[in-house]
Amino acid sequence: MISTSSRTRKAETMAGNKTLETHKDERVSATTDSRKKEMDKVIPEAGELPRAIVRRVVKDKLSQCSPDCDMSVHKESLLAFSESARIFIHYLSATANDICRESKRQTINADDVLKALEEIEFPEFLKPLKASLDEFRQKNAGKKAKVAKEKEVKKRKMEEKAPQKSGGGERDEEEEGDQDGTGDD
Amino acid sequence: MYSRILAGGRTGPHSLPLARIKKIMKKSGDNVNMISGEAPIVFSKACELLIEELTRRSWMVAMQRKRRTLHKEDVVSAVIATDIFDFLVNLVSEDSTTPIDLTPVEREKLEF
Repeated sequence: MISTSSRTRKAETMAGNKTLETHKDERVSATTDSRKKEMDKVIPEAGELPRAIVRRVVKDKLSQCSPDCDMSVHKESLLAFSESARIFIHYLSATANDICRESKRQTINADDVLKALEEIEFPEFLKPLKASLDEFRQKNAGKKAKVAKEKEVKKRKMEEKAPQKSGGGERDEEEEGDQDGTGDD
Repeated sequence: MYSRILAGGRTGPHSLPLARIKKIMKKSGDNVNMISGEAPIVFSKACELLIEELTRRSWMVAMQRKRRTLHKEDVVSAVIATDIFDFLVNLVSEDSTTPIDLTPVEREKLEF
């Protein structure tokens, strides 16, 4: 298909002798390097992000950058943004996955992702991300409390109807819901 | 349930869909671990921030070139000029559009 190595060399020459790989080697560990090589193998089109949302993010940012003049966005550049986000997810994922594995855990959690961001040199994202996460957790805590209450009520009702049957057969939907990122809304 | 998530149930009305993000995450390697409920939220927001940063830098390039339309070549130049966007360099160079390199002056202006 596409010879990525020759393209990398092309990009290097065009960037004016800025040898990306050697330059990076000095600062970055071997694992990050190998992760980047993994990125070379990424096949595009494996699940794109919704164009409308990408477009909104871009346009909002552009109005912020130049509030006086109306910037427009060429369709091809929207694709580039969307693809960049997708590759970013891959890259961040792979990094978070390694971090998670190093801690001998099975499930990638939010902290792994935050650490991964530091590792791939995006520390400026951490603050807004933590704020977002806190907001989400607060909202969730509210919902959880509500759902827990409703469950209590249900449970009591069931116990009133059939006092001999225990409510143990009921799944703890809450836990599973969280893991899947679904919940019962 | 899933359709509600895709409509952006938890992260807000117009954020990147969590299910899609999870799908992409799972394709990022052979031995991807399980993913907690919160991780896709962080990814969704991180993606937004990335797109914003990339947009900002591309915008600066377009401004330097005195244009009001963001072209792909602006995005490409922004990627090449930014160290932390190295992981994107293969993406942007893998098509027929020749990436336009920045002059040293332009590049200096972008380095912040």
